[in-house]
Amino acid sequence: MKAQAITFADFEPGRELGAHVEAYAPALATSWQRIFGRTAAGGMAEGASLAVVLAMRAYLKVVSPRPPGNIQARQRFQMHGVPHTGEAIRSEVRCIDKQIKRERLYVDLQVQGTGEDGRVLYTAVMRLVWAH
Amino acid sequence: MNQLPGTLAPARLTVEPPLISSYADLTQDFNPIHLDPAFAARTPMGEVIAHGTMSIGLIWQSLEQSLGAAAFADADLDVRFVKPVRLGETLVAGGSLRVDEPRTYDVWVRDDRDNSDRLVGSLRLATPFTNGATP
Repeated sequence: MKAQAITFADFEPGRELGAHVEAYAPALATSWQRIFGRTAAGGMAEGASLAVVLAMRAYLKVVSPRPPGNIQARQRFQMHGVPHTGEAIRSEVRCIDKQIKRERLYVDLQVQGTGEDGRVLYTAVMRLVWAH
Repeated sequence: MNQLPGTLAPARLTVEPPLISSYADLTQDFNPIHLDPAFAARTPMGEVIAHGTMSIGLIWQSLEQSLGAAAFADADLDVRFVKPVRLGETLVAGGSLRVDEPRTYDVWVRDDRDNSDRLVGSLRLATPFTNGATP
């Protein structure tokens, strides 16, 4: 990517933007429990939530720097398998569409996460309203 | 096949500034629209708003409370963030089984005070999921 903030014009539908590898670390689970409570610690909701978090972290790492003020309008999250604690997950980020509707700039990014054994864990599609 | 419940159990969360900061740390999403009141005041939002994906965490909690671990296998969640979540709101997540699609729930996250939607969408469960049983 580039030093200046990535603009709407920079996105090319179909283009892979990069990948990010990160472990589902116990510290992430602890942080999640501080927000959502410890009652369901270690459960599937925690794992699924952290899969969403890892997808977000991958997008934020790969698509950087971003203009301030972007917001997310929609997300589709297909959960193929919940990651295991300690597992390294590779998330690939791709631009799949961009559109201008009612003067708003929409960018669709796909983030696909793969576990250590090669199984696909999740496919997320984020529709973002890009600031400029 | 066991009957799926008609509704998903509610899951709640009250949004306070420390919670937004903690979620920003967790996601590494430090967008000033979530954290900087002066910046947010200059946007159409007018004030800081919570991260949208925080609400998705509540949907997953509602699903686990209602149907257990097996429901997560190949679950397909598709949601729209229809209204920003503001400080002080208590969110409640839930869902209602569609009559015409027996494995799909309409899901939502609402402000508990006036029941207005913050997130709406669908949650489709995999075949041949049965209530609480491993497929």
